[in-house]
Amino acid sequence: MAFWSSLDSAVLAADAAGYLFFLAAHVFGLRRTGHDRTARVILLSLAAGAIIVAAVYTVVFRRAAGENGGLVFLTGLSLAGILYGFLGFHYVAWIFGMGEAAVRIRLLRSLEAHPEGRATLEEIKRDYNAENVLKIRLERLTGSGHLGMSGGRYVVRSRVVLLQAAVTQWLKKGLGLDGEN
Amino acid sequence: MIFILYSCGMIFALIFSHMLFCRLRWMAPFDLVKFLSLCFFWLVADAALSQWTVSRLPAAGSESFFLAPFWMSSYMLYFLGSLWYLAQCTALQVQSPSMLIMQRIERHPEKAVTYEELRRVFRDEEFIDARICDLVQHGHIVLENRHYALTARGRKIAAAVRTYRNLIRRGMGG
Repeated sequence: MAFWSSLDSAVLAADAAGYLFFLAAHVFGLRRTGHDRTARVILLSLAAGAIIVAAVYTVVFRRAAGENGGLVFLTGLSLAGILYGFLGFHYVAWIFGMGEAAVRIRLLRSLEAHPEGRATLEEIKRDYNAENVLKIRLERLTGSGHLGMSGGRYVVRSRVVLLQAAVTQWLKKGLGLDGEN
Repeated sequence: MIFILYSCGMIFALIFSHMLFCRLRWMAPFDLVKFLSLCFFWLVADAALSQWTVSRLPAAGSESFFLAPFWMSSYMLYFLGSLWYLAQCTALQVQSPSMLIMQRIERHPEKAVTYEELRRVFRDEEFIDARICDLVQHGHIVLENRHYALTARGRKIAAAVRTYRNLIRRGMGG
């Protein structure tokens, strides 16, 4: 059964090393900086992890394959980079993003902060309401460079979120949900 | 290289078969069990195709660039690619406030909006009330005597997120 090779060892060991480095570096960075640096810390930690991926892959590949060059090396390096990118994406989407940007998680935490974890709808909305959501999001989008101010109005500075919106729209169309929402 | 191409092909096969089944109403877009079954089916197809290639071509795994044995890493590519697609599908379930802000600005004739214009779009009914209904439906909170209360499950999630946010020294988020 085709399952594991020395090339797999090189790719997966490099990704594991880079990813562990990223996790440690971003926790260290976030603990030492303020909220306005969050996006920058995560991007820098990801970049540092990518360097570790490339370095570890080169070392393990050299030992496993006995050479350092050629198309196989570059293919493995690209694959390690893509896998590392996916790992970074999944961390941000499933773990960091949940605590940072999920409204439902925030509502659970607001409830938890109330005595005995109980509150009326009015009490919940006193802590957290649509206006708070808007303020928090505007602050985050402005801080991370996606939005800017021009003449007292908000303008788009980076199209990354809009690209994500385009993917979402394409998926909705593909799944036959474009008539909804 | 061929094993990587197989995995990429299986990711596309997963996406298009999922879309097709949803359009034919054979499955709901957010049916996790059926989605995972579909993922497993294409993973088995990927493994079978790889195995067939190895058995047909004895040179597999030797010096050929095309047959370089990236087996496990290709499966990992398939797994992470499927998870990416699942994340995208999950994001369709609710309107992201950040995306709504960006789209409002982009669709405005002058590509610029004031805070007040955005404020009119953000209503409690959509961003708070609807989410609270979701939390009740999923069993994370319950409504008792006009009070919403955390269930054991909701309490565990809130505690896990609080611990993680304390570790990275960040506030409530939202």
